[in-house]
Amino acid sequence: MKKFLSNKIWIRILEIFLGILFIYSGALKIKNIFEFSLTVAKYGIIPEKLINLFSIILPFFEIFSGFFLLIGILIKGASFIISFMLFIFIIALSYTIFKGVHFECGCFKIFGKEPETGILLILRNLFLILLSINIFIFSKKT
Amino acid sequence: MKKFFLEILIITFISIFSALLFAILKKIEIFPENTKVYLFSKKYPEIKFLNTIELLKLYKNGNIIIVDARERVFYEKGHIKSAINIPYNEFEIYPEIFLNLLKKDKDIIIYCEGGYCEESFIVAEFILKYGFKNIYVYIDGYPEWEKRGLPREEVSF
Repeated sequence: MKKFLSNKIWIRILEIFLGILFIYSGALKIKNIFEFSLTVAKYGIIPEKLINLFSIILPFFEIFSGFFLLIGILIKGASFIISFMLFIFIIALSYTIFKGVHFECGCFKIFGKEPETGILLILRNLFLILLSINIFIFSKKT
Repeated sequence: MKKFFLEILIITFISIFSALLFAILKKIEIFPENTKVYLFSKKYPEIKFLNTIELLKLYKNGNIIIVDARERVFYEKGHIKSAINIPYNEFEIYPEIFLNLLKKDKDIIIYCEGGYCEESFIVAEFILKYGFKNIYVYIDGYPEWEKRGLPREEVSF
């Protein structure tokens, strides 16, 4: 198993996959920045005064982390930031389940439709975290 | 380890710098005075807003139509006195039924559950399409009206 997870081709495939995914996700948020800010507000986690700051900065973290994964430099840093962001998303999604509310997640569209907050999204993010941690642990590039 | 922290620092710096540059170029207010009003006015530029005090003035004068955009079950539990119910999830299916309840010569005030609820904006956008002009969204929403002990009623069966 370790041999497979540390395989160079496998790691490169993951870097390209997560790279494209996060560039796409960040670009979508920037394109609809006010819609994304409103979604962030609906989560009710971030103080109202900081909502705009957070929702402007977050997509750029996604884009640049994805970009560095894609071109294959700063891999450890980029995969760590992506894992950290996914961890925050999982906390935010869990909080909405705890509160008993659901709305469009503000993440990224699949088949033209944005999924709603819920357990499925948490599972999706857990899966992505595993891929990102795989890169972080086994990638030797910096 | 040093290299790892340096990588994080580089990505953080580039991301924050680009984000701030983007905000400046797009003239986005990072710390608006009222975040809720700012964001809704950017997303729905054609819709006007009212707060509780402003609505109260219009309410006392009469000659307005108040629309509760929440789902029927919430409306039945309690709503602003004399408000009619146009649920955001039913309006599109039966527009003609709901449009008959509105009048073009009156101000139409729409509300939902407060916070960052968007149901009132969804209904407002539909109504705008049918040529109604004096449309306002009561941005504080029903919880604020209820909290202040202002006139309310329930649907009793």
